[in-house]
Parts: sequence; structure tokens; C-alpha cells
Amino acid sequence: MTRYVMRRLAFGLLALFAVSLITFMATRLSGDVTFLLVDLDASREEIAAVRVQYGLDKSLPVQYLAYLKHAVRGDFGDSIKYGVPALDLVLSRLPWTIMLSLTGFVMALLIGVPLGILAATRRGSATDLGASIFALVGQAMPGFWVGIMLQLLFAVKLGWLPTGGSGSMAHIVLPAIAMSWFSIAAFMRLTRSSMLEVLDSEYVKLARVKGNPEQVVIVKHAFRNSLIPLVTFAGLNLGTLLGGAVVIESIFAWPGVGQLMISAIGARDYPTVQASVLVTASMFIAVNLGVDLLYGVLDPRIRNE
Amino acid sequence: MSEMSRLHTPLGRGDISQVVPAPEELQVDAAAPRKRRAVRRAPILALFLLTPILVFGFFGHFLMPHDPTMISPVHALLPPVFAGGTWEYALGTDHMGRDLLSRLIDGASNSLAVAFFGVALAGAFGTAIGLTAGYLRGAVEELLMRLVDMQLAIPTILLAVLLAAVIGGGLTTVIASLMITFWASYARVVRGETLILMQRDYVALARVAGASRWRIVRLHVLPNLLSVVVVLATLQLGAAVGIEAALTFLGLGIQPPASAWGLMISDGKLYMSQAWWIPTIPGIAIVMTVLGSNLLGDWLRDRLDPRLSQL
Repeated sequence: MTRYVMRRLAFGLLALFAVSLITFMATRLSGDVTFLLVDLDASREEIAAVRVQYGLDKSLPVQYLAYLKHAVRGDFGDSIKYGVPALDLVLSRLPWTIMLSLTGFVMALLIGVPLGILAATRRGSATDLGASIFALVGQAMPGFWVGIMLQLLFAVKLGWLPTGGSGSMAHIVLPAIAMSWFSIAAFMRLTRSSMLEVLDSEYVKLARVKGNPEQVVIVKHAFRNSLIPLVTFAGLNLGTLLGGAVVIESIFAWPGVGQLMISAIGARDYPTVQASVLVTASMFIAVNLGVDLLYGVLDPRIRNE
Repeated sequence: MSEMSRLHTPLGRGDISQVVPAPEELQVDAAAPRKRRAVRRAPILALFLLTPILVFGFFGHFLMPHDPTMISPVHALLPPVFAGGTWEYALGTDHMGRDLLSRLIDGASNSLAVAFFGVALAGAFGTAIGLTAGYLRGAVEELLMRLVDMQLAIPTILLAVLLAAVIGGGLTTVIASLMITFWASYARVVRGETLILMQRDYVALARVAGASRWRIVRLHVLPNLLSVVVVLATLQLGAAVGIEAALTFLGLGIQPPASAWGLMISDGKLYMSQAWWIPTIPGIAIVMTVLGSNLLGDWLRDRLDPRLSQL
């Protein structure tokens, strides 16, 4: 188990390193950032001075090492647009993204999983058919469009909920549904197929033959054993939700990291872009690491691999 | 010899199912003509959804009732025909009076071209990587597969957004984003398949007969990989259309005044209180494309290779 944990940890660190390299390269390749830092009528000397001040006169590998050295201390430089430390800016937005992602995640689990169990235990019924059609069509709907359709229906036409922004419980409802839409469908499909497989197994048949009530069979014997693929997928999904937040937050003017990232890209505010991409990617990697470890605990075959 | 020739037919059409029968096919009367069986299990819904999109994509220029970029303020925000509009503008018009049907048709060719090239490039690159890893094994395999893991460990939307930010918005950006997003899954699947194929007797025989590495790959491995790659590509095509639309919607993809479904939705978002149809209609086109290609991919998978259910 220790070996397994160490390997996963090493891989997580390596992935983080790769992300830092990619974000660094990306922001440096997108043009000479010096001109964002100086006035339009700056003299050649002033430009040179700014280059030296920000280390932009050095070679790229040297710049990267300097960047990495600062990054591990949490120093990404000041946001060019807002003039405050980029990491502080990102961290101040982070709770919003986490709140939205977790709400979406919990919603997807609470709706998708029971629906999947229901569909599997009533295979072939109208419930099963309806749930399966919903899953199929739901997975084909792009999240940003679902978001706009929800705005159109519940905010513009019915006026029940706000179009966007933040501030009250009502503000989180639409973005959370839009975010979890795909996941609800995916959880439902996965739970259904996983349950069907388990319901067909010998031990479930034995549990029935022993005279257990159907509910006990389904919850205790079938569902518990269909959990492993669900846990893997749930972890991956939480990561995907964090990524999907970028689009959804922009639509609903939700003040999270994703919205900050998109606006920073528009303004070529590269310290903020780097900080927000790195923070999001770190969370993604951390969640995946957690899932891998949990998976190792749940399934002895994995950790002894 | 007979098994070899059978496995080498392009896409392994039909005959693969004799080697690995799909569970439900076991019950089908074996004497039933293959052709009729194929017709009965044809992906009717998928074709029904995809045909209009494909026709729009390929023959769009003959079908557009209006110039998709022609601005005509007198005709702004006209409703579609099923909401009280006229046949002149069957799906209504946007805030600049541009015909939505024409823009939808024009956008289909853009969306399909972008999705197709993105997936094709990802498929070619990913297959090359997977094949190299599976064939050479050893340190090369270890390195390439760690790269794949790495790619899968980074949220794809972040990479796409980052890339779009670097080279600016446009067709090339979206195609490159799609390639970066999708290559790793090909590499992973192709490597696995290559490992299996390398165990086959005919590969060992070819090696004994003195065939070169390239000859073995070209004649014995690559043709047998085709069905996996085709299935994966079909399943990804829909996702690619979705990602393209999302990037374009965020302003990072196809740029105005070109027509694209994502652009129509982002334009329509601003006017949805007056004209609900502008963001709604292109979204339906996206759902049709994604759903159609998912269903077609599922069907192809069952048909070509039932072992691939994990894709």
C-alpha cells in the first residue's frame, strides 16, 4: 500500500510540474507582455527597465526557473489588471467555485444514482425507458446551452430565479443544475449498468434464495458492490465539474475562478491566468489522487498491482 | 490463412462478429441472411438525426435561402414559422436581421469541418503514439504512457482555453485544442490493442518469415486497429462538436462574422428576452449532432467489436 501511495503521489507532483510548464510556456508564447506593463509613449529605456524589473530580459528557461521558485512559495506576481497578488485574487474566488462545484456534484449524485438504481431494478419498465432516454439525450446537451435554456425558462420567462450573479441561495440553483446536467445523466447510466451487472451475479441470487427482503438485497448486496465503478467515476467527475465551472461561471456571472480566468485571458493578465490555471489544475490533480487512494482502499486488487 | 484474411478485411466488417459474437446475436437464427439482419439493426435514429446535419454541412451552399452574413435591420428579430413567422425566414432572424436557417446551415459546415479535422488529427497522432508504445515496449512505452496519463490528469478545458488564449481565436485554435484534448484516449486504446495483436500467431509467423518491423505494423497490426479507431472517432465526433461550440461561445473559437452554432448562441443570449428562438435553435442542432454521433458510435462498436464496450 505504501508503494502504491508513493507512486500516486509522485505522479501527482509530476503532473503539477507539467501544468506549471505548460501554463508558463503558453503565457510567454502569446506575445510580448512588456507592452502591457508600460505606457504607450514609454521610452526605450523605460521599456528596458520594466523588462529587467520583471525578469523578462532573461532566457525562457531562466525565466521559468525563477517563476517556479516563486510559485512554490505561492508568489505568482501581481495581477496586471487589478494590481494585487494574483494568488490572493484567485484564492478569494476559490470558495465560490468550490461551492458551485460541490453543489453540482451533490445534486448529480442525489438525482443520478437513485434514478439509476430505480431504472435497473425495474428493467424494461416505463421508468427505465424514461430514465434511459433522459440519460442519452441529457449527455448530448452541452452544459453552456443547458445553462442558457434554464436562464431563458426560469429567469426570463417565469421570473422565478435570477439570471446570474451571486448573493443569495436562489442564485446558485440554475448554475448548479446546468453544471450537474451532464453528470446526472452520466451517473444514472453508470449506476444502471453497474447495478444490472451485479443484480445478475450469483451472490445476489443467493441473497434472494436465502429469503432476504428485496430491499435488503438491493441496498446491501447489490448496490454496495456496484459502488466501485461509481467511486472512480465520481472522482473524475468532480474534477470535470471543476473544469466545467469555467464555462458555467461565465454564463451566470458567478464570481469564481473560472470567470476570473476567462476575463484575465482577455486582458492578457498573465500572472492571474497562471495562478488560476495552476490552482484549478492542482485541485483537479488532488481530487484524482484522493480517488486513486480511495480506490486502493476499496479494491485490494488495485493497490497490490 | 483463412483467419488471417478474415481479420484483414477493412474494418473487419461483419466477419468480426463471427469470431466474437455479440451476446444477443447468439440467439438470432444463424441461417437468417446477414444483409437483412444488418438492416434490422441499422441505427435508424442516429441516421435520422445526422442526415440533415450532414446534408447541411456538405451541400449547404446550395440550400441556404439567404446570405448568412447579410445584415438587414428591417428584418431583425423575426420569429420562426412555427411561432408566427413567415416561410421567407423559416427559422426567424437574429438582432441584425440575418436569416437563422442560412446561418444554421452555414454553421454546420464550419462545425463539422472543425470537429472532423480535430478528431482526425487526434486519431492519427494518438494511434501513432499508441502503436509505437505497444510495439516497442520497454522504456519508450513507459515514457509515452506516462505522457498519456499526464494528459488525462489535466482538465482538457483548461488546456483548450489556454491554447485559445495563446494563438487567439479561430478555426486552427479549435482544431488544435481538439487534437490536444483527444489524442491521449487513442494512444491508450491503441496501445492496449497492439499488445493483444502482437500476441497473435500471424504476427509471430510474419516475424519468423523475416518481415521487417514496418511490414508487420503495416500489414498485420494497423489494419486490425482500424475498427477500434473508427469507433472511438465516431464517439468523439459529437463531443468535438460540443467543445467547439463551447469554445466559440466563450469567444475563443470561430470568430464573427463567420457563422457557427456557438456564435449564434452567444449572440442570442443577449436577445433572449425578446427572441427565445435565437439561442434555442442552434442548441438543438448541437444536440442532434452529439446524440446522433453517440448513437452511431454505440452501434458501430456493437457491430464491429463487442469487446470494446469500455470505450
